Amino acid sequence: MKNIMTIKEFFRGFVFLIIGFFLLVYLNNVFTLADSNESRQIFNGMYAEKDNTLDGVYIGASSVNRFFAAPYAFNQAGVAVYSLGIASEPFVYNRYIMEEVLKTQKPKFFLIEMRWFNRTEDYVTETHIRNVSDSMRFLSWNRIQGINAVLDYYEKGENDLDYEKINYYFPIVKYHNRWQADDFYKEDILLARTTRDTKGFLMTDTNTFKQVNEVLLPGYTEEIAPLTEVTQECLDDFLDYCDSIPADVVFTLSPFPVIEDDMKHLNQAIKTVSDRGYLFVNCCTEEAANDMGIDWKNDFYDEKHVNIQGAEKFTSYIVKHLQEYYDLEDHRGDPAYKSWEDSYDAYVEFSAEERKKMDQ
Amino acid sequence: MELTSFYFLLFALAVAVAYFILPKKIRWIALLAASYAFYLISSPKTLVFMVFTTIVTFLGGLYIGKQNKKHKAYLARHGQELSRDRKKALKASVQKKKKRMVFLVLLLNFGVLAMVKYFRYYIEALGFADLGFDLGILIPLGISFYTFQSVAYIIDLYRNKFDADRNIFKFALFLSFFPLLIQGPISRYDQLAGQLYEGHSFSYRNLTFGAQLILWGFFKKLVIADRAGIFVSAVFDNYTEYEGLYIVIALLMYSIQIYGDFSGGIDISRGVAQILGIELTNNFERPYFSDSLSEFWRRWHITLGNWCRDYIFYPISLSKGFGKVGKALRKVLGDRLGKLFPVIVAQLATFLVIGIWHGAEFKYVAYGLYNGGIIISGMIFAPLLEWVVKILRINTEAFSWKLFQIGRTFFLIVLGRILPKAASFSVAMAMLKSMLAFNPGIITEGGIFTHGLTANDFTILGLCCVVWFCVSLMQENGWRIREALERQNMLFRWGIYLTAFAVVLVFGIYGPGYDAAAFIYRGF
Amino acid sequence: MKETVLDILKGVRSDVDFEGTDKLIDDNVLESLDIVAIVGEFNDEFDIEISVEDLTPENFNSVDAMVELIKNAQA
Repeated sequence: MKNIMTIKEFFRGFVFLIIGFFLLVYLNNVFTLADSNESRQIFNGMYAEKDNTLDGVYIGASSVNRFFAAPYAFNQAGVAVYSLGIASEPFVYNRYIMEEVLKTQKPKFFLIEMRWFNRTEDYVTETHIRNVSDSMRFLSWNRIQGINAVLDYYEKGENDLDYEKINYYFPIVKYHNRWQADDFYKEDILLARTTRDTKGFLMTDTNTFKQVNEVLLPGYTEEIAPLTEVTQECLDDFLDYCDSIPADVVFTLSPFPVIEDDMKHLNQAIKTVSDRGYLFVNCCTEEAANDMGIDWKNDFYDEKHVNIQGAEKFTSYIVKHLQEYYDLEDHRGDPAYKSWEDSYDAYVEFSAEERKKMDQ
Repeated sequence: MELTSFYFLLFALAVAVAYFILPKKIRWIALLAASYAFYLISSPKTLVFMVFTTIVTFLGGLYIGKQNKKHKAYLARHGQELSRDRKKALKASVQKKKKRMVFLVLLLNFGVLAMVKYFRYYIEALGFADLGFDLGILIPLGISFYTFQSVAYIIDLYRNKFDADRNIFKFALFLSFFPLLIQGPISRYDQLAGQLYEGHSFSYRNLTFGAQLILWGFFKKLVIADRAGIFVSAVFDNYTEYEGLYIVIALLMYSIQIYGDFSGGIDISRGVAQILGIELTNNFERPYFSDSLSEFWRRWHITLGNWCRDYIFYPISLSKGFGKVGKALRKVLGDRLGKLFPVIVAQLATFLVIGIWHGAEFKYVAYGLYNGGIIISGMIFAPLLEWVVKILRINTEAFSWKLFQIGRTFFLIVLGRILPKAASFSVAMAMLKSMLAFNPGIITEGGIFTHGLTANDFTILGLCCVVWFCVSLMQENGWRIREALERQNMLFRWGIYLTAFAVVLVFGIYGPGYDAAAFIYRGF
Repeated sequence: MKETVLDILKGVRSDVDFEGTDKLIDDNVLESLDIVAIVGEFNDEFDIEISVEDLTPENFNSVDAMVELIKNAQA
């Protein structure tokens, strides 16, 4: 049989392709969501955690990263729960985020935020999706599956999304013009994968210490209004997934001045979860608000998010409940959890001055 | 499917794999299937036109081929007995039969082309906009290219250059070969058909050389042409807002854009073909180094120029009819011009065709006439120009003179480009007028960096053009780039390829957020 | 005949060394305008009819090829 090419040629070609592939991977890691982007940094932080040290992971959107003061929780009770809240994260992504976590962690529980169910499949922007897809590690089959799932879900709604999947598989397609952008720094080129120092809890100069000047009250109700068919299916499928994994899954709804109509849809989501036998810790009731000691004027920086005062109240409340259900070790003093002690120091240092100016 | 898309690369890869898996004898079938698949993906509703042209040309070719064979056989048997006059008469009658068939094929093929591409425009231009039936048919992919290719085939058959193709499927491949459909090159049967039909062995060298050529094409199109195109579109789409240097620079950038876009696409086509073991004619030979407009049209869109030369220019300039008219006109025009008369008519016809080939609008005709006019004037006034050179004691061997010629040619080309690019002839005239404003401030004060391209973009564009220029200069001096690279150290070579790859990925104009201009010649 | 042919060729393009190459067409030494002029002269000088079909590289690449072409056209 005639040789179509020599062994040497084949080998050379093969090595060249491998190098080319690595170059492609590198470039996709450089030309993606900016290293300075908050969502990316929060996700980086999760990856950076030492293997198998997390007790739990709280997953959701800014309804998580502004609410759960992870360093504060550690300082109070020695629990290591990472606040994995990515701005406007679509619920469809949850299981894929959980899969990413499960690659390096064996948490006792996943805490799932239900706030997203006051939206439908019509409301989404590309940023919402990319905050997650571009923060996940590039060479991850799970990332690809997540992109497919989230795009398939939103395609059933009426929105203006880019449905070209290649553009998400390869971030460089969208971001390659960043070479001349203001947010392109050496951290991007060196793949620094910067993290924040407060375990996912998002602290910023502006919002963390801001207080709304008006009293915004929630419209609680017991009534139930159905979710859209697609959204209901999404929740059902997610619960199927939860059934299949070893980690426990518990659900919650962080407190906020909810609009009554939205609360009806949220109630349906809550009902679905409870009917399937999952634990739901409802922090969005009058009773819970009273228990927490929520101050509707001073604890919020806008109609959806708490400031540091509200965050601490919520964090204490939810940690207390989690301790009731799970046998959580107190890791304070454990050298393996030094980074958590450091995170509390950073937390205190950041808020030292500004807190004093706030109305209690 | 865009030539510079990820999908096209996947498609080409799939075709190559299929090609080399099949046994050699039927590899051409893979090409035929791929080409028709490509057509169905890109422009399914108009496939019928290409099929029509294929069948018409094939059948016409068979008829002419048969006439040729019969005539040859007859001469072989009876040639000795016949007188010269008898032979001439016989030949004439055979020619007449063949001519009628050629005429029929041309009528049908060009008729389809005219109807689909030009009819609509002329109907509207003449004011019959509302004809009651739907003229909104899409332009079939590659119709100009495969129509011209089919006409070349039939006329070459008439000229007894080769035997007619007897396999309609193979012939269908000749007209539909997918790398040619988007931008050509317009290929000739005796150069291409054999290559398409015979199965080629896999060659690692062809694979690597083809891949390099494809990469180079991507570089020219995505990094250079599409980048320049952003500024060009900004100015030309809103021409009333721009004047002076804006228009000058836009014209320069357009010259870069059209060259990069077109030659880049050709390189991609040639690279894909090379991987399959097929050599497509080059369509560009560093045209901007031309020292005259005539030479430019021998170096730009070479296959179109060659087509016009062989099927329009030679027939007209050598025709006895025009020759006789020219002889008669010697009394009026003088000896030299009388002799030149058929050539002048031929040039005129050639450039009219080149003009109309680009489109139906008057601006394209004007573009053809502009180029033809300058060339013809050059011919008519040649003695005068020689006299001027002598009087001014210009040293025509000097390099500085060559530089002047190149510069002058480049200027004429860039200026002429306003005709095809502007929205219409009157817009072109308006833009020429507003070009006369003097506003260097747009550069010194940075206004030019606010119309789609930043200063960084201009820098990248400039650097890449320098690279391209150096490569062209090397090629002009006989260097064969890929062969030269082959001889270098592996680390150096690989460094170049990987750098080029990275440059295309990072600096290419693609993806959401850019107006990715489809190939300009795609609608042909 | 060859002398006459050479004279004609020099008359059209004085700058070309016709006898020094056999790739006048393949190397793009002669352009289409040159060919037309040359053919016109040949037709006049030798009373023949060179047609478009004869305009192949084989027939015009060298002086000898052109001489051959003319001889065939006269037959």
